[in-house]
Amino acid sequence: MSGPTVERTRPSRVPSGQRRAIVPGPRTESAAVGRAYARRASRNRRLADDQRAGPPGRTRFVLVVMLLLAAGLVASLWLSTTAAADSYRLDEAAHATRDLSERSESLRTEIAGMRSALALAQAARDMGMVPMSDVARLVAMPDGSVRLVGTPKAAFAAPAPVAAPPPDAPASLPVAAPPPDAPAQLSPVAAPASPDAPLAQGTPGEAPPAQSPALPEQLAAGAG
Amino acid sequence: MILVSMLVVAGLKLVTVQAVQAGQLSAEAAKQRMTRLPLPAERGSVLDRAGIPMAFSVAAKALVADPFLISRDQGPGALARKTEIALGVAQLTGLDARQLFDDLNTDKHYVVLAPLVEPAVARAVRERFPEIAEETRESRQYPGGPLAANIIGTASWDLDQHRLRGLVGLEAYREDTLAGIPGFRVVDTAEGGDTVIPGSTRAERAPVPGSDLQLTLDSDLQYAVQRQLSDYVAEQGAKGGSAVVLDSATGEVRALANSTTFDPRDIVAATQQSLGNPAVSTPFEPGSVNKIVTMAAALEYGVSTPMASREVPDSLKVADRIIHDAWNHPTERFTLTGILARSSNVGTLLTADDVGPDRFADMLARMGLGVRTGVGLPGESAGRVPARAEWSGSTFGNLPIGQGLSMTVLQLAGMYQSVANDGLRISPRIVSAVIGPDGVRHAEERPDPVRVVSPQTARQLREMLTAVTQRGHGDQRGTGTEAAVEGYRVAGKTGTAQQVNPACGCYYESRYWITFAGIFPAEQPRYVVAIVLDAPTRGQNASSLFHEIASTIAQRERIPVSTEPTPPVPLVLH
Repeated sequence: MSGPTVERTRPSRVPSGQRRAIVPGPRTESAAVGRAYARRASRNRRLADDQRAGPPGRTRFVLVVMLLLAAGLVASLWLSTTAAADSYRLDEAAHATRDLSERSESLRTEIAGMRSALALAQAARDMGMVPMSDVARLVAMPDGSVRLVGTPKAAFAAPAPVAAPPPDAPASLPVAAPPPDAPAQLSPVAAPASPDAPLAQGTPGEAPPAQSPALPEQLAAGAG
Repeated sequence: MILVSMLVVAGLKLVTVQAVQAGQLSAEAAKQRMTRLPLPAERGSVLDRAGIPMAFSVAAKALVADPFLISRDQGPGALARKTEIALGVAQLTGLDARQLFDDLNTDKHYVVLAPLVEPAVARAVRERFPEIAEETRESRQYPGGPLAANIIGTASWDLDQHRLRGLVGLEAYREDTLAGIPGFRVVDTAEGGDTVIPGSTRAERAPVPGSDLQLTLDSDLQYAVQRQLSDYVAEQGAKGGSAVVLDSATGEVRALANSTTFDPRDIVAATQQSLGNPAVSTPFEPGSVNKIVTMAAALEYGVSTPMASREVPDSLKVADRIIHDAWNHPTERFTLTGILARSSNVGTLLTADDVGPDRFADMLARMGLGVRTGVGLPGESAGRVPARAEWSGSTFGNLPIGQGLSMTVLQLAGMYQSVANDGLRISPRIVSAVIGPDGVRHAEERPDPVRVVSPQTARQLREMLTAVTQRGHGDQRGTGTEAAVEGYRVAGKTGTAQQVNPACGCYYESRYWITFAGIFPAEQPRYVVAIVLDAPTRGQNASSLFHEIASTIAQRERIPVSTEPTPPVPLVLH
């Protein structure tokens, strides 16, 4: 903005000054006037020098402006290229994120499936392991001795986990014997009582009488 | 003049459009371009007590197509294209190509080819076949399959609400907790399409994900109990059965199993019966396991002591009926422990008579019978205990021996939990905590403990129950010896009760509920196990199943063995 202003104002001053310097007053040649003319001449010279020095400064300025414009253009191109490249990278990153999150979810599902009790039991079975309920234990006693609790026995891959006890399990043998309180003789009940005053004919602990009809007391509804 | 008229008409129309109809027209315009996009909330997970997921959700896609449009666009080549699509989709998804082709070979405008496929697979399908579109879904995963399925239930995609919805079990019962709150976004979309115009979001509400439910279940123990129960039910030829394991100190449910269950991953194959949870919904008459009420009252009120003896005949007349013991015996002198360990009906009724009906009824209530436990599962039954005012002369001859009242296996476990926990009953609970979407854990409200009996009475009861598993000779032998676990002291009680025949309102002659309730180990109780079998045909005892479960617990929890010998307790005095 400053360049054109200088160029515009300078010619308006210089010609007026030159006009006055070239046409000095012929009236009195006093010292003061002479000095004044000398100053004017000096000023005019200086102004003339300045005028001669103007064109090289303007060129530089123009060059600087052009360089700035060129740099701006290059920067703009570079930025737009980078932005385009970044948008591709962003898109790729978004896809990668999506793929990774999907993979993470898939793996989470897989892990949850593999750590579930069902899968672990199946894996154990595949390895030939069988469930064993009655295990023998070694107990370290305070005096340093080791005591065996239980009867060590082999585990068999029986189809049902509740396998019959092996014959070498002496502690289990009495269990196989019929319990003394088995319902060997049952109490026959002549006739069922009237429905409004029924009584169960006993509730055997572990061995109920097979013939013990009894009527419930308002239980048909209660059992629901 | 004409020009002026036209100008006036145009001016009037302008005023009408800009002023009179402005609101309506702008609303219609907004309606045309505004779209309310739902933002689904992720459903919460169900975890076991160790945080292992038992049910959780993953993102999924549904593959949908418009067969009518394919036919119209492809013209004569539609059949070939549909075949190509069916084969391609089958190859990518693993589905049946024939079924896919049948779905495509219609004139419908909308068919779902695959309800749940992985997003990557759906994308591959869509890229290969532009005719196939994908819809966002949420897939519910049950990694354990039938594991605790009766408890957790199942959830499936609701086409109307565009979200997962619980169908049965906790998935339905705790729907509000698990579902979360879906959000929405109001945006402008291009005309005739779903393309969102960037920066056109008018309103948005973020979805609030559902909370996680943490259960008290131990999934490993649950698996073991489920397997052992179903094996035992099959072995005994029973119609069904249930078992529950409680933590004796807290009342928390560690395992709750039914012999009939289903696989939530294949809900179509499930029967209506298998979807239920009989352990909490089906009460039964407990039989002799209920004798503990009489014994608790007798000890608590100082009516008797464990070693106090009395003459017990073989039978007893109550009202107009004669009650017998399960085995014939002469009149013998039984200790109170012997009456329980030998499961004498007559001895129990004589003791109950000493206690009195009012105190007995009070003890029934204190044990939590006739009232729902509030375990936190749907469809819970309260069982039935006749009100004291309704008792007839014969009622008091039925209730002490476990007939004439009903309870669930969970209530049965609760009774024995109070004995195991020094007389303090804590109602069982199955939901431990709710974990919010922010990760903060909110513990569920714990029930207030109820004092049933004194700690001393509870201790005495445990000693008496230990005699049930006593392996003595002859009449010194308890009725539940098969429940014993070598190296441990086991307290428990066997039970058998006649089932009601709904046809006649009478009892079946040979159809029983077989029950067992036990405390393990007896000295320092850790667990309570209750079992019920429905009409077994090849056995009358559930003690062996208790033995299996207790052995599993002993191994899993590394419970120290008892090195002290168990002194024999006299059951019948000679």
